[in-house]
Amino acid sequence: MTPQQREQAIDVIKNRLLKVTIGHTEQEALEVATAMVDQATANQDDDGHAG
Amino acid sequence: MASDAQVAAFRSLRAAGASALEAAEVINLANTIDLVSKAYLHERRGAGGKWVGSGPRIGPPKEQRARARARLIAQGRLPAPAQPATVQSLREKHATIGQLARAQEQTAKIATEAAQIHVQKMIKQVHDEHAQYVKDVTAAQSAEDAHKAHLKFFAIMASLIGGAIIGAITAGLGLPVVASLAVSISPAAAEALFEMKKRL
Repeated sequence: MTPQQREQAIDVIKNRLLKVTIGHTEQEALEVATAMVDQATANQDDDGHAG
Repeated sequence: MASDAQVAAFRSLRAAGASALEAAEVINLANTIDLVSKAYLHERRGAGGKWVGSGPRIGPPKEQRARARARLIAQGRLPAPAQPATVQSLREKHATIGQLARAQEQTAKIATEAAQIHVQKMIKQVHDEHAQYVKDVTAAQSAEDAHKAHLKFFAIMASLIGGAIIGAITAGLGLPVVASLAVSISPAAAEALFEMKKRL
């Protein structure tokens, strides 16, 4: 996964989080999305996939 | 304009004393004759010799024109007409483009359908995992148990949702497919994810 693809994945998740919840800041959504993408990448790497 | 030959002819007439016209008059007369003859032929040519006249253009008979055309093509002054092979290859090219467009459309349709099915499955999985998480947290005997439940749920959500989105992006499936995968983040799961991020 390239840095651009990582940014895109974070952006998609961040926007979805903001769309379905109320009262959360964009910064919070960004942190959650970043943590999810990093976790998913780590999980993929553990499974032997190219992240 | 009058041709050099016409002007020269009038000049020679004047020089021979056969005409009392002045030089300027000779040129004007030659120009007039030239214009009249062009008008008679309905011939008007603009820049670069391009035909700009109105009315029927008087040309040589068909055979002469064909011969002239062949000569001009042989001299490289006219482009050769499209050969059947070129027309065929153009047709093939357009047919291939059409086939590609249809195949692309079909692939997009299949990808969209596959994504929809995948999203439906994911939504169910996310829902089940969220229910399990609520159960785990409720049953947690200690803060440590609750923390473990948070970690577990976050890791599962990241794998399910984040993994699918990363996979779709790296596979180049396009924004509609990627966005539809994000739909599996339900409001309840999103709230839980925000909550968990605070506690992690």
